[in-house]
Amino acid sequence: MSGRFSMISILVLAIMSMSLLVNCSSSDEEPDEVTLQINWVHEAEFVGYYVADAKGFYDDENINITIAEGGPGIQARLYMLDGSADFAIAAVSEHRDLVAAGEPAVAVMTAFQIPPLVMFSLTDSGIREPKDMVGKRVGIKNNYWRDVAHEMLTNAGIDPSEIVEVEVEVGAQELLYSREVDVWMGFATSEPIEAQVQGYEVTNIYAADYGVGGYEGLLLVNQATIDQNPDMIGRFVRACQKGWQYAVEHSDEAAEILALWQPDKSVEFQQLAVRAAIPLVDTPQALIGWIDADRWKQLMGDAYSESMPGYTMEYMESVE
Amino acid sequence: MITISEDKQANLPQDPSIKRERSNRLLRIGTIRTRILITFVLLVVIAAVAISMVTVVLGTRDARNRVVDQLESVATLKQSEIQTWVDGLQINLDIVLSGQQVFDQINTLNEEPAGSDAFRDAHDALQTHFNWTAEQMGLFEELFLMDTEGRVILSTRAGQEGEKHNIYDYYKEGLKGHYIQQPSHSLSSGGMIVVVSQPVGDDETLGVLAGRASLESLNEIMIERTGLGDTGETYLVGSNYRLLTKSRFEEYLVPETYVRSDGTDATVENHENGSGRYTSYSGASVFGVYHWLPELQVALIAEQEESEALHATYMALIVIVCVALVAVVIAALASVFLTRSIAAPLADLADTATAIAAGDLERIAKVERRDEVGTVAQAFNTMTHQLRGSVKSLEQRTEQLRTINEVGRSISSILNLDELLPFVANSLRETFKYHNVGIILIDQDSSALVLKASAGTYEGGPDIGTAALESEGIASMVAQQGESLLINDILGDPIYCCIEGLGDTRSELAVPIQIGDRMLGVLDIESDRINAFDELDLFTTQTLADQLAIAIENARLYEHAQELATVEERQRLARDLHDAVTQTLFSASLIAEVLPRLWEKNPEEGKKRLEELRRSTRGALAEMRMLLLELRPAALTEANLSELLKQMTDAAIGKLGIPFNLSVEGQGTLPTDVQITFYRVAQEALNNIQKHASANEVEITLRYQPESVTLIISDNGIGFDPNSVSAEHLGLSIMCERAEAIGTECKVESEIGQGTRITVMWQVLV
Repeated sequence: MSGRFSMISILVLAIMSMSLLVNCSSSDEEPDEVTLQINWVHEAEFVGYYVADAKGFYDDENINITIAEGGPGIQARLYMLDGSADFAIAAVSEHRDLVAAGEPAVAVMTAFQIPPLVMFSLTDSGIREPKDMVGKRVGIKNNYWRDVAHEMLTNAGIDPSEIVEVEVEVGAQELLYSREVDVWMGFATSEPIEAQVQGYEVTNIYAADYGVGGYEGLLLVNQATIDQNPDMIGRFVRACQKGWQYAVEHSDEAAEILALWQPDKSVEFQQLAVRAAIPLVDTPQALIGWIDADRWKQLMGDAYSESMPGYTMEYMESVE
Repeated sequence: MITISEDKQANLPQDPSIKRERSNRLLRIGTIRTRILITFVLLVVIAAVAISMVTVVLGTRDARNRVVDQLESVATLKQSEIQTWVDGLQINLDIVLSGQQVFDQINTLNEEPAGSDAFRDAHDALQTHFNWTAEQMGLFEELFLMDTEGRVILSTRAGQEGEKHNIYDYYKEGLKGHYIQQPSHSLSSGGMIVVVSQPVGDDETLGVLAGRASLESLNEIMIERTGLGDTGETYLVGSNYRLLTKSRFEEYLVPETYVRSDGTDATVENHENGSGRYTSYSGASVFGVYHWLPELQVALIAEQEESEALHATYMALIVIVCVALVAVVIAALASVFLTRSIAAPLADLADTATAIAAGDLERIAKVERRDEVGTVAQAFNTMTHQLRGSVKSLEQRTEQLRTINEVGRSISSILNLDELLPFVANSLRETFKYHNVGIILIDQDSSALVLKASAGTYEGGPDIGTAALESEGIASMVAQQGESLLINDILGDPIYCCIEGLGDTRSELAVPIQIGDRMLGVLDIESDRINAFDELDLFTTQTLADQLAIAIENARLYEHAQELATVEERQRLARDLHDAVTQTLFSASLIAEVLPRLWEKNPEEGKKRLEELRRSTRGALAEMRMLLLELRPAALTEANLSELLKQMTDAAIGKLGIPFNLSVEGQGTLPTDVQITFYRVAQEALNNIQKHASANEVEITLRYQPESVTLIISDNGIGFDPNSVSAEHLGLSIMCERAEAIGTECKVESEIGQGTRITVMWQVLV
């Protein structure tokens, strides 16, 4: 009798010890400190990452994230390359340059399936498509936007020289309202929303409708990080994808979370911004964050090589 | 029907609390009325509940099946319409390509360099054809033609030519055959669109023709009313769970609404068709049917809210519940009516029984029905009648026994025959209302019957007569035979000997008064009514006669004992006077006689004798007082114990001529029994000293203390060996028993040659 008791006691102790060890190993493991460098100020185009943080998806993956804000003049991708940040957000064109230059930057997911780049006008101006811009004043913030505008116009069969380019400062959107310029450019999730909130009805002319851009908001990671800590990358990508999925399916809640990161904008603004992002992020043709191989090759153009394609879907493939 | 008769009802208590108690009793579970009521109601309720449950279960199932069938029909219809629409899109693409001329022009575009006249002519012609066709069809927002590399070479929408679409499925799949891309969001229109495509060319593929079509037509198909009520709707959900067509709720917008429900999970995730009850995207519980449309890669959902779908069932249930309630009420009323007719008579019968049980034996139940209840009531009344008789008889017997007991107790306390016999005669007459009572005793000297006492018409009548025991008459007969005699009609009885003054006597009862076989007399009872006596009277009279016999014997014995006691007391006084006072006085008289002569011869001796004379006379006086105390025992408790002891020692001194030193410490009074005990102990001790001690000095100490009173009598006499001398011989046993009987301690200490010491101590009770 006592022998049986002692056997049971040993068994119970063993099970308890094992469970304690398992608990200790899972909970005591130090979380990965991960820095995500975004390429612009906090706004709706990064909402998936904020939501993943707020909903604890990073915590679930044992990741302690720091989202570092970008802005004018901040080359987020360079922070990733020099090791200041683990991940960086970049535009396709920026990444194409890195790939062409042989930099060890690898895209592991994309936020936008459709680029949110837009040219927009006040609706009452009657400018609804590129051909309406002939002879109109288009605000150009920098070369990046100039290239976008030229490509859109060219694809639409318009000679870019037929528009009047007006050099403008970032944020000088008042010029549109005062009709000193007729067309403004920006992200569908930001500048047109601002105009709407200001009470202006605007017409968006998407660059994507004219074959400009592809994916947008690429999540880049250094090849060295992939080599050293692929597990962390998998967990990070999984949490990000989950954050974006949650954001598009719960736009109002996502807007409230976003408002915490961008407190200078109203919740109404954020709601419109998130709703504008939804059809660009989530398309029926692809899983959120997914990069299609053919499309990627097309986007990369000459920069693409099989040996160094500049992207991998290895981590997205583990997403349920 | 049984009811209490009106005269009895008038006697019923009208106290409201009794009415309330009665009504409460009617509602108690244990009553027949309540049980019948509960049974009826339960039967109906059970039946109603069973019917309701079955109806609800079956009704709900049928309604659910019906709703699902209806939703299935609608979904199938919608699916068919969607398919028709899709087919229409593809047919229209075919129409665009109809005619050899179109192929020729497309071929020209492929083969001729851009900008050439041939190219431009073909392009313009096709452009016109596409625009006209699209406009006529009204289905497509844009028709565009891609070459074999996926580049748009012609579009009805400006600015699209030159774009490469080779990465898109509608191009890649369109090269193979008819294809329709799943719905997606159109940036330009803001709405949802599909793209259909197909290859151009028969043997050789010249390119892909594609058309963008708005989902507005599907919207119309989906929102078209189909008899699903106010809450029914059909909608499409994309493979990413996004709502594709308009919701009936304004707040759920396309394309930002995502639909997550059991229905969409089953279809989108598993591409299954099915149905079920689940929570829809609006949060409402719905019945839904879901179809997966593989061509479009969308889910077709048809739903109706459960509340509306089951509304008819719920209404039917309400009706059934109402009917059941009405049935319960009717059953309750019917059971009340029925139980009133059955249970009310029983309740009244129970009331009557309760009243009878409470002592009201006059209550009867009225019989108004000829059924079983009526029979019970009749039997009940019969039983009550018998019970009344029994109780009455029992009460009489009890009363007689009580009276016999009282008279007997009184008889036993009277020891004087002259008081006893009249008391018994009068008590019998007054208590039992007898006409005449006579007590006739047999004279012990003459053996004649002597009427010793009588009550009734004997009083004031002729003198109580005497008759020889052997004379004729009822009393003589009873005295001789020793048996009771009961004559309920003396006029017709030959043995009756009419006594003058008793002419109205009609019945007579005579019982012997005897102890064992010894006859003492006869107790004679007379009545002026015929049949006045029964067995109960015989029992009573005989019982009293027996007690009377004992009382007569007691009285005679007591009288005899009194006489004996008087003689004995006289003898004792004479003995005491002779033993004590007489002896003392005799010696005193001798001293007095010789004293004059002695005084002349020897004055000193004369003085000594004179002192002896004084001591003797004083002792005689004390002895006389002691005798007087014995003759009047009450004096023992009236005097203080110290005074009694003083007299006792004085008497002893006078008798023995030795010093008796009495010492009293403190003062107080003793309870009567203690004082008498102390006195008797002292008396016995002094007697022993006088008779046996040969002492020349005696110490008597009476000590009063707060917690005790102690009496010590000690002498310096010869003493005795307690082991060899019987205590009983010295009266010590009685002395100590007397002391211990009242809770005092008694101790006798003695030793040969050392005197004797007797101590009695009484502890004061706190």
